[in-house]
Amino acid sequence: MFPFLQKYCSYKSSYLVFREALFIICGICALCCMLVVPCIAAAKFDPMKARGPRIEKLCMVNISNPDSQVLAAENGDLDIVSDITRPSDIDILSHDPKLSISLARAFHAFFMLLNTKTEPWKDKTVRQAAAQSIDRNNIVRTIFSGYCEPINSWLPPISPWALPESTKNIYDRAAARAKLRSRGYTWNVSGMLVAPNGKLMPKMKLLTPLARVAPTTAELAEQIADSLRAVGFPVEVEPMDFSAMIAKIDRKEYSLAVMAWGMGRNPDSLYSFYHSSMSFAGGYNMTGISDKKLDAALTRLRFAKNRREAKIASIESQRLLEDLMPSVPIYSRFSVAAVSKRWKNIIRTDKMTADNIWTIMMAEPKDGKKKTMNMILADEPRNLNPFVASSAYSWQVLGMIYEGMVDTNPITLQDMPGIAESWNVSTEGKGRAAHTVLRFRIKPGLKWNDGSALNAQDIAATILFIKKNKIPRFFDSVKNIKAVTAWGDSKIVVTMAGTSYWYLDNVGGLPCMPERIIKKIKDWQNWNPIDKNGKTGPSGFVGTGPFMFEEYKPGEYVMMKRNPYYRRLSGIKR
Amino acid sequence: MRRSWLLRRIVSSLIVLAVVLVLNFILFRIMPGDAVSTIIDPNFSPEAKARLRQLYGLDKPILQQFFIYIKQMLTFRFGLSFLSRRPVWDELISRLPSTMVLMSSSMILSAVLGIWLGIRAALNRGKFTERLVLRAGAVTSSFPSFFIQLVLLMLFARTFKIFPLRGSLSVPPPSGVIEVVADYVWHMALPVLSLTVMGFGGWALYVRNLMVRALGEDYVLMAKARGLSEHDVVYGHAFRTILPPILTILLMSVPGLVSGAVITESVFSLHGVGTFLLEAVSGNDYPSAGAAFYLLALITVTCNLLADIVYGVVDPRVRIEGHNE
Repeated sequence: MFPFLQKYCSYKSSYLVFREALFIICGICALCCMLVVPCIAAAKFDPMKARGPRIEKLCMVNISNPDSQVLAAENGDLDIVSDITRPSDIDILSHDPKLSISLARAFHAFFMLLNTKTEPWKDKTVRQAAAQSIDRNNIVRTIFSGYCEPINSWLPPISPWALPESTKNIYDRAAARAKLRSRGYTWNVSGMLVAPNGKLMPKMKLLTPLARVAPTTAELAEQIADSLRAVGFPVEVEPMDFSAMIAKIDRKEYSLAVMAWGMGRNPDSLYSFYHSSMSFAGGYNMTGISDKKLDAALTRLRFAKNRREAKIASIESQRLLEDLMPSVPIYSRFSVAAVSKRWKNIIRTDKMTADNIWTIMMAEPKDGKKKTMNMILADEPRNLNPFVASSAYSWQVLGMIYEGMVDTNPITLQDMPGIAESWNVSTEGKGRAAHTVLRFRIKPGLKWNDGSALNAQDIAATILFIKKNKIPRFFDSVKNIKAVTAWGDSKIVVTMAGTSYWYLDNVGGLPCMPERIIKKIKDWQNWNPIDKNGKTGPSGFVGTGPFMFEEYKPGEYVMMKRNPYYRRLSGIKR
Repeated sequence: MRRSWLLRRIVSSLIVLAVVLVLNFILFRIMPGDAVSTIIDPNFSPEAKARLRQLYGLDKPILQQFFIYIKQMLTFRFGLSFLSRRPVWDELISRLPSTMVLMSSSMILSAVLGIWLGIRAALNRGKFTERLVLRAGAVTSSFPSFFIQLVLLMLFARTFKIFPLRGSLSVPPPSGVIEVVADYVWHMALPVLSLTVMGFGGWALYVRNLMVRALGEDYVLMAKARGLSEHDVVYGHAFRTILPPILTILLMSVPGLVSGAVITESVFSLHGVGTFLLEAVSGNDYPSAGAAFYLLALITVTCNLLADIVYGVVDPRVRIEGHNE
């Protein structure tokens, strides 16, 4: 009987191993499909030739609770659900036959900050050892069920500027111990680190937001602390209110902290986070890192004259960060969205989930009947004044109405024409007098959504208005502008102080509106483009985007309709 | 009721309000950080943050900020919200109707249901009715609200599709006044039902205990001996004596009508004061949080005063305050 049982057990265990292997292979295949299929689809899609919007109305439905969002998607009340973060929700929605799930890399990145002004983090070898102690793969598997990727880069892997080995696994506990040993660290009988001076390392706190506010981050902090303790760092997690945590980090009164932020597509944000000039109370250099070589590379990056210079400086900065390790990159989250299968022409790429403006422009109902698309608005927009609106939800609405001169190509993430059909960036003057001149040519025949003609004077007026009023949201984009001149109806010349390759994106991305609207705005802070009934008038939302504002019911929805004068509308049946 | 007593109560209420006003200002300012410090965006430089602080008035001396705040509170001109840059008053007014409808209707329903069930339980001591009321009350009031609400949503909005999933109006809303009202009632039914289910248990248990004690009193025995009907004995004698504590609880619940229910608003995607308050506090939105807490304090103090006066109306022993001494 026993040999039979042994055989059965061995058969059973091989069966289990086989089953697990099958699950893993299936999982990898599913992830590959989610990432590769969009690449094939993207190859067919040319954003320059995209025509739309094909829907008549776009309704942004306000549902803030994630459980209710999932129920609404399952019920068919929503056509697009964005930013699905909980693995359980992704699983539920991916099994729904009425929905199609798309997944793409995102600009989100999560870091462990090390206070380089305090012991033991002053020593870069110790920082490197800490980075090698953290098992990122395990974190990704256990907390996120694989719906994010471990990173070893200060720019998220989606960024065209990230190093090719941005997802390389550097976890190596033995190497971490060897590094510590090389710096004179030893271990006591209980496995805790003893500093080179013979004293037991004092306890260190890892600051994290409260589990009530950020449950995943709190759980992640526990796992990081476990990893560090396994190498001998006496780390304890200290959950606290987010404002209190930021205040401590600002004052550099911390040892370790965990934090996530969304990075832009350009790498010059590295300057803000790691240049020594930004290390002051309230500055973004939260780790306090100060290194002459790094400062020089970051300065070259921020003030690069062209893309080539920027690329070289970006690579150099990232290599230096890899060596200096002021913060430890942990993971970058995938962006996940679900779209109802009732719609066709859904656009998704490996860099963009299906909940994008191109899908909204191109989508058509499969049965030809449904004319209104319902999209999730995960929080109240609160303020729809483009000069003060700061939340992503406000800009989800405003982004449909206003456009900039330069747009972003969803496939390459490079600049592509927006209101401007072409532009030229040149550096003029020499030495200290060197400055950047941006020349934009506006597309001829463009109209605002009220039917009036758009000209270069409108754009110039918008830029000057933002500059004159020092509007905080756009302050950094316009603070170096020396002069703005409109030449005729279609040419704008913007002269900037100093030189920087990023000036183009800063100025080209500003939302544009007609001069006559700008002139009527007496108090930009209190300007409300919506009247008391939730509608807009001739002095309200006038832009060039694919949609026009129709109605806003606070807490309920924002209704938008197709802009009949939109530049990509030609050739669409109305 | 003496005039001097009323005057004393009003003065003490005003002192409480003044203390709340000062604490409102101090507590929010001693919390770490401010509305600007939590912005971590590399495209938002420290200079841009400084400009924002200037616009919010946070660069002014603290004493000057205090006087501006006091003026705003006393004139009911609460200024602009830091987070939305809209007038705080407009923000509150746009949220109040939904919160008041939700909270008042659920409070009335749960109180009426709970009081009635509590009386039934007290009259049926040791019987199935009492056990059912006690257990149902204990179970419904001990479950977390989000759990009950999500179960109700799953059942009545997802599986049976009787009620809508979210909001207080259909998208797009129907035309015509009657249709809009009907649509509103249909949308609010599930949130109100959920709060009623969670709220009646507390009332039932409380009233049952009070009623059991009252029914054992001599005057109830006397009333029965006089041959009065059970209805008269229960509602005319026993219930009358337990009315003051019930009224106190009812009046003390009134501030809750305005402060809203954060979780309920979130689960049912309602545009209410609860979420607004939470965001104001967590986002260091001083004007919004200050105004909301000031109004809540004002309502609480007023209700307290009202409760004292109503006590005298329903209970003759309280009315001759001063003489009893």
